[in-house]
Amino acid sequence: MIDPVCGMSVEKGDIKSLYKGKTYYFCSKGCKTRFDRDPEKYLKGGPEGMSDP
Amino acid sequence: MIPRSESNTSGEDSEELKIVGMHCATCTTSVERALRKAGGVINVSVNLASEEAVVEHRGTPTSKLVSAVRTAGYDVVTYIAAFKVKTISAEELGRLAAKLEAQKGVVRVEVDYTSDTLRVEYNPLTTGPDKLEETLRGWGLGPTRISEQLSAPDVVAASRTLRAYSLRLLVGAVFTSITLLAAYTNQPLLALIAASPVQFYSGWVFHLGALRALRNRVGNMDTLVSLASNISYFYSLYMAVFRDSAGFVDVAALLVTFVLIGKTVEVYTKTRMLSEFASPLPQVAVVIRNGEELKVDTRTIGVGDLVVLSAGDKVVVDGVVEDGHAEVDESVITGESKPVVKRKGDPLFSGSTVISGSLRVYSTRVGSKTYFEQVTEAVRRAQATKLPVQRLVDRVSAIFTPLILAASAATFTIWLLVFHSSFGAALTYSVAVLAAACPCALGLATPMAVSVGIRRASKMGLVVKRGEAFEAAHKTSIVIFDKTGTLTEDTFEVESYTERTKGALELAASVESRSQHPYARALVKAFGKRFEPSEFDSFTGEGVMGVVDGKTILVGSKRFIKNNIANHENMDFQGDGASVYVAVNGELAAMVKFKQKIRREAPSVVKALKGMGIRVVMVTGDSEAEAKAVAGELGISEVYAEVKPEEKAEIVSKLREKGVVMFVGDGVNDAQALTSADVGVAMGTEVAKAAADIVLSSSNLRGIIRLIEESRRVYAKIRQNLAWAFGYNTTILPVAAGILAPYGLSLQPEWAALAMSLSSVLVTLWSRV
Repeated sequence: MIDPVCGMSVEKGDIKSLYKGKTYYFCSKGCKTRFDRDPEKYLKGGPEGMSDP
Repeated sequence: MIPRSESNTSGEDSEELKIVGMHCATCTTSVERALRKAGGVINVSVNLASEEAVVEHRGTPTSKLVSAVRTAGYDVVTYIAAFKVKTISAEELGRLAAKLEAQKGVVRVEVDYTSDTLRVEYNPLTTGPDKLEETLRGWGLGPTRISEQLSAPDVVAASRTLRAYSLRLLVGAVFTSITLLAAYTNQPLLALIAASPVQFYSGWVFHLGALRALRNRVGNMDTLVSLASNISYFYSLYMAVFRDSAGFVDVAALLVTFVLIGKTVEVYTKTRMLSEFASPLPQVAVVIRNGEELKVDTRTIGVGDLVVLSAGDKVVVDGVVEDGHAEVDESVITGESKPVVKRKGDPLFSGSTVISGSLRVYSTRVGSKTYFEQVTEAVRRAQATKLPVQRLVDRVSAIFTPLILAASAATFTIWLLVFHSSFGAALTYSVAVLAAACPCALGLATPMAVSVGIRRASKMGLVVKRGEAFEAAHKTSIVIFDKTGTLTEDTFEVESYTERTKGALELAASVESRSQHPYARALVKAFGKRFEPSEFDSFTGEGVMGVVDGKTILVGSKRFIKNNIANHENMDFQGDGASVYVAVNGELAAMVKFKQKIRREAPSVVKALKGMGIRVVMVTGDSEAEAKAVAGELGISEVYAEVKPEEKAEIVSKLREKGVVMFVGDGVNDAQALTSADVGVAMGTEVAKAAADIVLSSSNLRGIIRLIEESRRVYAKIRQNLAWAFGYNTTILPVAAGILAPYGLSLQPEWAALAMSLSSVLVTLWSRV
C-alpha cells in the first residue's frame, strides 16, 4: 500500500480516505489533509515526496 | 462570589473530628476555642448538628487536636485497631510506635511488649486500619490485624449519648417520684435524700456542661439549667436543715427530670435521623475468585472483581452488569422508588438494592471511590461547613445566656427589694426565669433543619457538596442551563428526510448498525436494521462505507458523499447543521436531517421554574439557529449561542449582578462557569470529580426544582424556628418572672422547665418533618 501523497509504503490503518469508491491510506494526518484538499492532484500527478511540510 | 476553601498550599492541612458531648450552640464555641489553642491551627469550624469539627492547621498532630477537645470537656470519636507485629527489640518497637503516633489521624499508640501488639487509637475520619496496616508493612513490621470495631462513627457517637441520657432519665424519673411523695407527705429529709441522685447523677450532664462553659468563659443552656436546679436544691437543703421545711426540693428534682425528657427526645431524634440516612454498606459480599463463589470482606474487593448479587442484597461496588437480570431499587441515587430492570451492560451503583433476580457485576469503582462513599463523604463535608445563617444564630445564642442571667437576677432583686416579697418567693421567680428560657430553637434546630435538608436532598438524587450553595439555592432568581447534556441529551433523532431511491434509508440503517456514532443510532432507531452488512469501514468524522444486500452503501457528510459519487448535482438539502447523505452504488439516494433530542422533562422544568418567578437562560456553543430551535421548543427566550467554554463564566458573572445565579451543566466542559455561579449544579454520578456545588446524580432535571423547593423549605423552617424562639421566650419569660402574679397567675419553676422542655422537643420535631 502506498501513501498517495508522500509515496511512503504504509499499512492499512485508521488514517484513510474514501475517494471515488476507493480507500487510500496515509502515513500521517498531514498527508490525509493534503489529499482531502485536492485528491485529483495526487492521483494524477503521483506522490510528491515529503519535501514541503 | 462566596469564598471557598481550596486545596492546601504551603504545608497547610486539614482534619475532621467527630465531637461527642456538644448539646448547645455555645458548646461549639467552646470546642472551637479549645481547638484554636492547640497550636498551628489556622481555622476551625464546628457544626452542632453533624457534631463535626473541621480544623485547618499547619501540621498539628491529631493527638494534640484530640487532647485539646478532651481537655475542654468534650470527647472525640476514635476507633481502635490492634496489630500483631513481627517480633523486634522492645526499643525499636517503642521508637516505631512513636513514629506511628506522629502520623496524621493517629491519636495514640499503646505497645504491648509481651505479645508484640500495637493498639492504635485513630480518627476514623482521617485514617483507617488499611492505611495503618500499610504504613506498618512499609516499615517492615508485617502486621496482622487482630480486631476492629465496625460501624459508622456518627451512629456510634449518637447512640453512646442516647444511652447515657436514657439511664439518667430513668434514675431521674424514679427518684423524682419518691421526692414528690416525700415532699407532699411532709418528710423534708427524705425528700432531700431522694432528690440527691436526681440532682447529682441525672443532672450531672448539666452541671458538667455549665462548668465547662464557665471554664471557657461562655454561657449556655446547661448554665441556666444547672444554676436553676442548684439554687433550688441548696436552698431546700438549707431549709431542711435549719427550718425543717422541704423548701422546694421537688422543684429541683422535677426541673432536672423535665429538661432531661426534652434532651432525651432530642438525642433520640438525632440518632434516628443519623441511622436512617447513614446506613452503611454491608461488610461482606460474595465475589468470584478462581471460578468459585467466595464470601469476602468488602474492603478486599478490587476493580475487576465479579460481585455476585441476589435479591435483598445491597450493591457494594459501582460497576457494570456482566450477566444476569434483576430489578434494582436505585432510589438512593435517583430518588425514584420504582425499581429499574438491569441487564448485561447496564451500570449499577453502590447503595442501590437488588429487589428480585440475580446479577454478576464487574466492579469498576470500589472502596472509597464508589458512588455511595463519595456521596456520604460529600454530605458529611457539606454539613461540617458553617453556613451563613448559622453564624447569625451563633451570634444570637452567644448573648442569650447572659441576657437571661441578667433577667433572672433582676427578677430576684425587684421582687425582694421593690415588692418586698419573701426571700423564697423572690428566689422562686428568678429560678422560674432560668428554667423557662429556651435557646434550643436557635442552637439545635437550625443546624438540624439544614442537616435534614441536605440529607433529604441526597435521598432525592441531589448530592450537596457545599452547604453554602444549598443555602443560596433558596434565593435563586436566575437559572442558566448549559444546553448540551442538560436540556438536551447526547442523542439525536431524525427530524426529516428525503428518500430518492426507495429502501435506501433501510440499507443505510443496516450499515450504520455497526457504528456507535449518535447519528448512526438515530438512523437505526428510525429505520431499523434489516440486513447484516458483509463489509464495513468507517472514516472518522466523515462517514461509513458498507456492503449490504450486494449494494455498496455510503453514509456520511456532504463532502464525503460528493467525493464518491458521479453526479454531484442536486445535493442541496434544506436546513442547517446536523444532516447526513446516503449513496447507493455511487448514486445519491437519500438525505436525513437530525435534531438533538430534548430531555423529556425539560419543557415542564422550564415552565415550573418560570412559575416560581425564576428567569431561565440558556447558553450553548452551538450555532445560533440550532440554539434558537431548541430554546423555542422549551419556551426559553434568553439565549446565548456560539459561546466558548471560557465565555460561559463571564456570562455567569454578568448575570450575578442581577441576582442569585444557578448554573446547570454537565460538569465536564463548564467547570469554570459552575464554580463562578452562586449555585453550580452538575449532572452525573462523578460526585468527587464534578467541579460543582451540587451534583444531580439522578440525571433528571426535575431535581433542580426539588433542590430549590428543599432549600426554600429548610429556610422557611429556620425562619419559623427563629420566630418560635422569639415568640416563646418573650411570652414565657415575663410570666415566669411573675408579671401576672397580681392576677393570681404564676409559673412555678418546674412547670417553667416543662414548658422549656416541650418547646425544645417541639422545635426539634418540627425541624425534622
